[in-house]
Amino acid sequence: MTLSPLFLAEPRALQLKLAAGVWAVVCAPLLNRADEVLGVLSIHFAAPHRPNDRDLRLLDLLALQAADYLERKGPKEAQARLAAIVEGSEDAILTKTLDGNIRSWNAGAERIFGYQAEEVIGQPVTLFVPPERADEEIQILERLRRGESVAHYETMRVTKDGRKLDVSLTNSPVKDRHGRFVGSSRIVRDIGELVRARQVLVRSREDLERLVEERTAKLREALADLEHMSYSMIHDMRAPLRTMASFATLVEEKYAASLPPEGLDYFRRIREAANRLDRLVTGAINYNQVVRHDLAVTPVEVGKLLRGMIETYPNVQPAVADINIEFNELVVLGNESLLTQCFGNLLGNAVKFVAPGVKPHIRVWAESLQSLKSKVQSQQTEEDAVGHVTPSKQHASGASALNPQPSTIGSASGSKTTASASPKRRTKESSPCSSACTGKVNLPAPASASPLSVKPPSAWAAGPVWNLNPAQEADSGSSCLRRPRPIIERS
Amino acid sequence: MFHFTGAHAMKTYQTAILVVEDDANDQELIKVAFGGLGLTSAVHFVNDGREAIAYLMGDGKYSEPTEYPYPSFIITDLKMPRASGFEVLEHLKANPAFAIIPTVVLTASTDPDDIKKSYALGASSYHVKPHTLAELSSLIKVLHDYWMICEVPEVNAAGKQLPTDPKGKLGEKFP
Repeated sequence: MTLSPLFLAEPRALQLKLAAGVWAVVCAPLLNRADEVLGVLSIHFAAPHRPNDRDLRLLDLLALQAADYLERKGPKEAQARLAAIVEGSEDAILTKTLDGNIRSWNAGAERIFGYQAEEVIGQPVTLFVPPERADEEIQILERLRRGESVAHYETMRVTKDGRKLDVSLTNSPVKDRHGRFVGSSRIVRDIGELVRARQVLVRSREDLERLVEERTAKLREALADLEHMSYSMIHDMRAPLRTMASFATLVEEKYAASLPPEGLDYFRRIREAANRLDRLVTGAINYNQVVRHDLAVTPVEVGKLLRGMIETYPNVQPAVADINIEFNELVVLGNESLLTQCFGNLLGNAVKFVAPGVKPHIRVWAESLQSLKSKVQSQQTEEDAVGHVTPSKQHASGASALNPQPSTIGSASGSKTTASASPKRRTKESSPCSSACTGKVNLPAPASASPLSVKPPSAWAAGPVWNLNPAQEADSGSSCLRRPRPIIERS
Repeated sequence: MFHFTGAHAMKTYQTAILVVEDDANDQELIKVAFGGLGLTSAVHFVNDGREAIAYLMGDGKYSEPTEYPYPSFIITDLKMPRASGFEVLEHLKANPAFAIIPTVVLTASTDPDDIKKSYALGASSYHVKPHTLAELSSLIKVLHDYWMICEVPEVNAAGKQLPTDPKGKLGEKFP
């Protein structure tokens, strides 16, 4: 028995045929016009058989016909499958010739554009293009000729009844077996809903922004009302204080002779208490101002600021105090006007709280603070008082250079105007001290040159804050925040 | 009404100061402050804006000019019942006869809006009432000394502004 290559290719076939009682098989390949093998035609005999020439010629003829049939029928099946897919699609799928004329038109296209296939086949695809977009098809064709696909091209097209549709076009070149551009296919998707959804989104965002604007405006109004109330309240509160302080003074001045020292002392206490309360009350006004306004933060040349102060403020001039500034130039980020007040107060207090008869020596220097979060130029405030350890009179909330914020000085008993960073951080008033005291201010180094706008307290609370209470005060160097050396030191 | 004898008479006509202040304690303190200066001017006190306007217009009990002389200088508080300092300022501004009277606001308010409004209504200056008596005294002294030496256009013997020619010598127009 000679074994045909057929059986070598498919080993089970031999067993199957033997089992079926086949004794002989005659095969012929089915070849198409390009000599490609499409399949095999086999004749099976139940008895051993040797084909004669006539049988073979018949086989060849049958093979030819079968090949022909396959050639025509096979691709047609695939074609039919594809055609079914195209027809069943919701999208419009059309094919065009090289010149842009419509060659095929599916059911989806009929539905979307309203034209039946017969009406449009052979027509140019520009039939659906609105006049203002006339050039589009030319450009698309150009790109297709270069072999590019033009995908998800959003544009508008016109239907049979004149409606304008928002559509997305995907165009692909169609090439023949040899890679030649023979036409193009196009899928047209109706994106009306998508476009409308986008519009709704934009409108929603606009509505939201408007809502936010309105709410912000309301908040601003409320804040303004509050501020106005504060001014009013503070104004009313200062009146009786003025009365108390002034009339106590009058008694002390006019009736000193007729009062025992104890009586005079009582009036002195009344006067001083009234003065202290007045300072507290006026301090509250300044807190208001800080809360209300967004403070501009800019690079500030501290050396220049301090030297200017020393020249013009009467209480810190060379005749009155020895102030030594140990740097020439130091630029920090801060609000200039608040910094002026802050330094003014620090210097003023440093000069004021000295033992009588002693000329104050004040040393001002700066050091960079390596904090856990970021680099900050630091100068910190703490003051000791004779007889008892009190928390700093003034201290700042620091800020990281990553999120620069202004430094403000909090003061419970500050003189003129100092902004309070947070009520929690207010401190007791210090009495004069004879030992060295230090004042510190934490300020950010400029991260950039451009001015910034900053928000009040709630944002400051996020930065490294000072929590100076008597317990901590005594324990120096306990936290890295307090390690840096002070800027203003009085000997 | 208080009369103070003074060392120097700075004006050739009778001067009077009107103080508009509602708080009795503040009034008393201002009196004390003026007392310490030794003035030739009469200082008159009224308790609110309405009284002040009545004084200026010579209404009701203020009709007697010898008793209630024309003020050559006014110090006014802002927050007062019945008519506030702003209304006093408005009245002064609206009446050309009072245009020359320097009017100083003396108030405890530090509200920047009040400051702006006062100047907009024609106040000559705005002062925050100091907390201590010493500061108040020195402020009163400064105000008095300053305003009493300034020049005014034609006035009569009582210090009241005379209606003047709205055109100047060179043809300038005065409002």
